[in-house]
Amino acid sequence: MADNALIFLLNAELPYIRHPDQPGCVAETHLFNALSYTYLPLLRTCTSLETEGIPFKLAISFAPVLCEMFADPLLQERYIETLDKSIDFGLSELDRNSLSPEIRDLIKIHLDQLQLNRRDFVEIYEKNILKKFDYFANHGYIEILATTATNCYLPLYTDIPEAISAQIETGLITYRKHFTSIPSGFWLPAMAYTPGIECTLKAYGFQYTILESHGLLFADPIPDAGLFAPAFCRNGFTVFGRDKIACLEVYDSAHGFITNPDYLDVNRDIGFELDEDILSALFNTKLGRRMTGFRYWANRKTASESAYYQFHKAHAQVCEDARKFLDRRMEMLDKASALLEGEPVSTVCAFPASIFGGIWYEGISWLENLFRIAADENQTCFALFSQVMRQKTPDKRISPYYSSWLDSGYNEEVLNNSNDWMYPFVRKATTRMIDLAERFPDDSGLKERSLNMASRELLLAQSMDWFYMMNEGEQSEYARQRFEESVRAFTVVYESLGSNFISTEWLTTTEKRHTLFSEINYRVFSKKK
Amino acid sequence: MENTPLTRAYLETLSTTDLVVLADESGIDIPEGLNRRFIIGELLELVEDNSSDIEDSSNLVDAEYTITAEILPETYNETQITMLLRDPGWVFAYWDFHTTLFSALTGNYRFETFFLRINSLSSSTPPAVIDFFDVEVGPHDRKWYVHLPGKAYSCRVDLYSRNTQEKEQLLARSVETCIPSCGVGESVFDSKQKNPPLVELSGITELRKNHFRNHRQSFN
Repeated sequence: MADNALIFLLNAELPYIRHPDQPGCVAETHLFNALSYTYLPLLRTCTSLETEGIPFKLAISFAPVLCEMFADPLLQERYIETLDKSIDFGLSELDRNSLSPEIRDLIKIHLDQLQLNRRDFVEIYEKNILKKFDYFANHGYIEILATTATNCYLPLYTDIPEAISAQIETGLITYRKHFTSIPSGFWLPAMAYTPGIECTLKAYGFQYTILESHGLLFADPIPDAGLFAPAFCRNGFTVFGRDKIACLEVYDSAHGFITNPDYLDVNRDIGFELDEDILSALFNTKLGRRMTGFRYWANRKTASESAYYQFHKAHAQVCEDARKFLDRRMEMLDKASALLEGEPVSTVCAFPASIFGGIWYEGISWLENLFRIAADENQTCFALFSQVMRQKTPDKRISPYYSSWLDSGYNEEVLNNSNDWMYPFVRKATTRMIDLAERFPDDSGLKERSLNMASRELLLAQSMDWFYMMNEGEQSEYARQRFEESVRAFTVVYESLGSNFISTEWLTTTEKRHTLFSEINYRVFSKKK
Repeated sequence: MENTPLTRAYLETLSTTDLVVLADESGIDIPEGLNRRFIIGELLELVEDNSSDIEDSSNLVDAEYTITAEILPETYNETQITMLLRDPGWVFAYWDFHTTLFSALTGNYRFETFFLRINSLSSSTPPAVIDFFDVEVGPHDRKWYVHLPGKAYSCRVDLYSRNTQEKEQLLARSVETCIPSCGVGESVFDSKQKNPPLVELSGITELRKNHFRNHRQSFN
């Protein structure tokens, strides 16, 4: 049974939210909270496990946009400023709640975490956490998958293969900039599979990807091992199937672990509850209310059940939920292995990283407990994709089914009445960019600079984040602005190349606003000869 | 006006009279009463045609300022139709018209309607139309969601116009798109179907139930 493998993957992704001229805007909060509650705690967990000699294996797909934001000096400085303000605010919260010992205890715990985050971020990681992830990758603990430059929903560009190539190539260039390993796995954004994409991925040297459960279980033919072993496409490319049912045990909004009443109610944040006068010490309230990280209440369904969060209760629940999850996986793997007469089997649990520490405050602690329990009991073996991939491809090959991990299982969330107006613009800009790359294959100077800027803005416009956010009332206006801003910037370059005039001042301003993909080469949009 | 780049953003800043003058100077024949966005479309098309003739190696010149458009264009002045798959049962089609063609068609007193023809295609080479149906769309519609009939290997959406006198006129064709066919075929929702034990253990029964609940139309 020692060969039974549990593969755990986190998809680390966020929209590009750099606003140099709007310090303290709400959009930045998402990045800073991700650092504070997901990535820094995750690195601390990895460090503790390594120090204690506890084996752990974890796959992460780092979106290039997120890497670029992590490495951005402006955002790094702003994160430190935010931490400093939060620490000062926490101290004032202690005074404000001097008569509530339960709340004061929670504030102290939160203050400890903020100070730890500041120390780790500044002193240990020297403001760039990617180096430490790279370290863990080089030491065999973490496998970092490559993915598209921006979070592009590839099935909606299959008739424009140059768009897919441009996304993959720019993603690879950015991967090499931040990590020293060579990626063998590729994360399809939203796990969105469309027939034929395996040929493109194989052509770029990738060996495997991960599909949603029905991508494998509705395949032609259905792989005999179901989700318990990697399957092989007709071109030999390896596909792993995510165990969606196992993942929903964690984050299902009705019954998942995250709903436990002892866990922190992450949505009941003082940033949405206190008077603006009090909050103004922490952020510019005119720019909008936001998550502050100061949360004092446990998950309760009704106001009458409202209760302060109790750390020890939540911790006990984390241990219980980790054990429950592992027991269930072990049971399933044992059953599967028995059906295969002792053959090694595996199961894949893939999650948005934002669940851990974000939607589920205790998520990183739960993850740590999984590794600790597994090590104690020496039963389930966590593994990396590359370890589980079979050495020889079997005779049976499949055509996976069209699928994604969006709730609909297909494209509905990114193609519906709220966002379908965006496709004519982004697809037209894409075909125009291909045309420009063909017309100006060897240009340099101002023209090359303009073309690189146009391709950067186009990649940003292709990010599914804007399309997805159009479904969410409060974020839709921001998504619309961001999308239109990128399409307009692209169009300015396109039209300028027609008229042969461009304002370098405008170009410089636009370049300074969006500093990602500094190595971009617009020729990635060229037709493959 | 002479040295200002003719971009959409710049043209949007001009009055309709100025646009007509500019079009006239550029040799474009503008029918009286033509909507200003059509005039802009014609001018931009001319700029695009001219720019293709310009030697591509010519250098960009630094302009004093760049006007960025406040809004995205309503049309790209091209007659074309695009189809995107939303799920195995539904496609999304969007289309655009060349302004001159649109004006000519809708300005004709015999004009009746535009319509989409949804073609089911065979897997043969070249693909043959095995079935089709039409959906009438209004002159101002630019998008439509279409439910696909089952059993087709691939599909294509055509944009047509019809008037009272002539035969229907094909205006644009989308590319052909394969329709995902489920590996478990028609038995995807057959609860009596026997699955290999590992497939059963993987949760295919639950998956089928969910798909039946949410996508039954897609697997008819």
